[in-house]
Amino acid sequence: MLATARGVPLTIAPEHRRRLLLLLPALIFLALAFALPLTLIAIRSVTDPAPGFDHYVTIGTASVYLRVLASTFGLALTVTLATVVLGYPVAYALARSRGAWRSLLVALVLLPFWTSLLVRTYAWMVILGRYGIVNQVLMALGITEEPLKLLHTSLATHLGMIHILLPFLILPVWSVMTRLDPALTMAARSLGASPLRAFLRVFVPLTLPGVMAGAMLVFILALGFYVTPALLGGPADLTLSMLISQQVSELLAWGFASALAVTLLVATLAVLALAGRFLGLGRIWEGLD
Amino acid sequence: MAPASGSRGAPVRLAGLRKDFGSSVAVDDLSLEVGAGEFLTLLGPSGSGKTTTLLMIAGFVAPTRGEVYVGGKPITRKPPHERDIGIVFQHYALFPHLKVFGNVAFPLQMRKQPAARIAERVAWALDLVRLGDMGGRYPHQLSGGQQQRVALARALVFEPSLLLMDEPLGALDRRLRETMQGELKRLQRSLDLTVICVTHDQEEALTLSDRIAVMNHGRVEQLGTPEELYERPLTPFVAQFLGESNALAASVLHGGADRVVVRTARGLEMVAAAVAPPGDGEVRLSIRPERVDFLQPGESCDNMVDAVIDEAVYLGDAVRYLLRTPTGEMLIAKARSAVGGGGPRMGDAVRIGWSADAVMVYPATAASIASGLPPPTKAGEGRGGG
Repeated sequence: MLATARGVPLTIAPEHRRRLLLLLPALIFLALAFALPLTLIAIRSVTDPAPGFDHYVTIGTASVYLRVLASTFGLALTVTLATVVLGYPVAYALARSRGAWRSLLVALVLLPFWTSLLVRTYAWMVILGRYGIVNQVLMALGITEEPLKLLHTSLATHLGMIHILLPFLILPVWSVMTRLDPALTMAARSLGASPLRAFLRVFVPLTLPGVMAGAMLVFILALGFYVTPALLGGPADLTLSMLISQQVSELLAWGFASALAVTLLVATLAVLALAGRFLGLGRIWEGLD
Repeated sequence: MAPASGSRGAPVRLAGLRKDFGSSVAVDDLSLEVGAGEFLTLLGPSGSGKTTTLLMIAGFVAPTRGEVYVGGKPITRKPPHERDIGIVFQHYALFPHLKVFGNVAFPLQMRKQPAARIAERVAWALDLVRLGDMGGRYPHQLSGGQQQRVALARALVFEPSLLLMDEPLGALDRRLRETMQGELKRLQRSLDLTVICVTHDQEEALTLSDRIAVMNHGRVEQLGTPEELYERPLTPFVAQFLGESNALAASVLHGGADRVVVRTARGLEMVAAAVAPPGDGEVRLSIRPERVDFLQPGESCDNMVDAVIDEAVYLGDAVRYLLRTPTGEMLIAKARSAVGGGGPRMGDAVRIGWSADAVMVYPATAASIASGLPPPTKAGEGRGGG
C-alpha cells in the first residue's frame, strides 16, 4: 500500500493518460488557433513599430481612448441590465409553460438565436431606417411629420445588442428555473408566504446563480461586440472593437491596434476576476451546467 | 422541554372529496374524519390518490367536489398560505439559501412576528427536535436525519392546527428510520398534534399511525387501527398490501353455520371460518404466512397437508419458506428462526397446518391487489431497508 502510494505522484495513472490523449487534438487546435495568435498580438503591441510600451502609455494618457473604453463598458452594462430585466420574466414563462405553449416559446427564443447575427442586424436597419416600419407607422398615425432619425443612433445600438444577446441570458436562467424543486415554493406557500412573497423570498434568490451566469455571458459578449454597433450606431457610439478595426483597416496601425486588443482582453479578464471574487464563480458555473 | 399547552391539533373532516384529472378520477368521493391529536396515515400504492388527497388538504390542488374542514371550519377555498397547515415534504424542501435558523424562522417572519419572539420560538422548535446548536448551519451541511428534523421544526414552529407529512421516513436509511419513528411518535403525542401522513410503506404506516386508511383507485378500501387492518383485512387488497399473504382462488364446496369447506383451483381442500357466508361459487382466500405452522408427528390442526420445502430464506429473526403441496399449490410460511440455526431445510418433506380462523374468505369479485405488485410467491420483504 505504502509503496504504491509513494509511486503515485511520479507517474500518471494509465486511465488519466488515456483521458489526456483524448484532449490532445483540441489542445493542439487551441494552441495553434488561439494561444499562438494571441501571443503574437501581445508581442506586436510592444514591438511594432518600435520596441517599448509607447502604445499603452498613449492609451492610458490620451483621454479619447479611456473615454471609448468607458463607453464600451457602459454600453455592455446597460445591455446586460436590460437583458436581465427583459429576460427573467421570459425564462419564468418558459419554465412554467407546458405542452404546445412551451414549444412555441422555446421556438421564439431559439429561432433568433440560430439566425445569423448579421441578418438580424440588417433586419434592425430595415426596421429603424428612414422609411422603415417604425417611421412609416409613426407618420401614418400623425405622431411625426418628418421621419425620425432612428438608425445610426445609440438607441439602435442598444436595441440591436439587447435583441441579439437576450437568449444568452434566457437560456441559463431557464435551465436553473426548471431544475429548481417545485416543492420549495410549495413549502414557502404552506409556511404562510403569499405567492408574491414566496417568489421574492425563495424563487428569486434560488434562481440568482442562473441570472449571474447569464449576465456574465452577456456582459463579456457585449464588451467585444463589433458588427451591431458598427452598423447600427452613430459616429459618437464608438466602441473599443470598432476602434481596433479602424486602426487596422484604415490606419494600418497594427501595433497600436494590438495594444488596444490586449487592453480589451485584460479589462474583460479583470471583470471576470472581480465577478469571481465577489459573486463566486462556482455559482456561475453551477448555473451553466 | 415543550411548554405546556392544551390540545393543539384540530379535528379534520374530509367530506365527499373528489378530484378528476381530465377523464380519470384521482380521488373518488373520499370522506373521513381525523380526531384532534390523531395520527392518521393514508396508505396505498402509487396512483391510489393518496398524494392528491394530501395536496387537496394543503390547498395546492383544488377538489372537483367536496369540502375540507379543519377545526370545524371549511378551508376548501382558502389559498395554501392562509390554511395554517404545516407540511413535511418528502425530500424536506429546506431552503438551501437560508441557514437552519432562517428556515425555521421563515413561517414566523411571514406572520410578521417581532424578532425577539421569532428567536424564542425558533430556539423552542430546534430544541424540540434536538438541534438546538445547529441554527447557524446551512441545510447541505446537515445529515439526512438532521434535515428531516429541521423540516419538522419548520413545520411545527408556527403551531399549525394540522401537520401533513409526505413519506416522512422514505429518504432515511433503516437505522435512522427507527430512531425517527420513535421521535415522531413522541413529538406527536407530547404536542397533541393532528397528523395526516401519506406513504406507500406499510411498516411506516403500522408503526406510526393511530389509524390507517388503505387507499386504492382513489377510494378508501378500509379504515381502521393497524391491528384491525392486519388481523381482519376486509378485502384481499388490504390483506396483500399490509404484510404478506397467500392469495388463493377457490370455490365453496359446502357451507355450514360457522364453517365453510373450500377447494382451491388446484384441488387443495380446507376449512375456513365463515364470518359471513360468501354464498356458493367462487371465492378468494388469504392466509398469512406466519399462521402456517410446521406440525410435529401426532399434532393435529383444522387444515393439514404434506409439503416439500422448495426454498428457505433466512431473515434473521424468522425464516421464510416456500412450500409445494402434492397438488402443486405453492404456499409461503414464516416461522421464527430456531435457536442455533436448526429447523427444516430446503428439500425436506414436512407436514404443515393452519387453523380455520387463519383463512380469510372474500367474494371472488372483491378488488384484488394492483397488477403492478409482485405475486405473493415472489414477494420480497418490501421494506426496502438498505
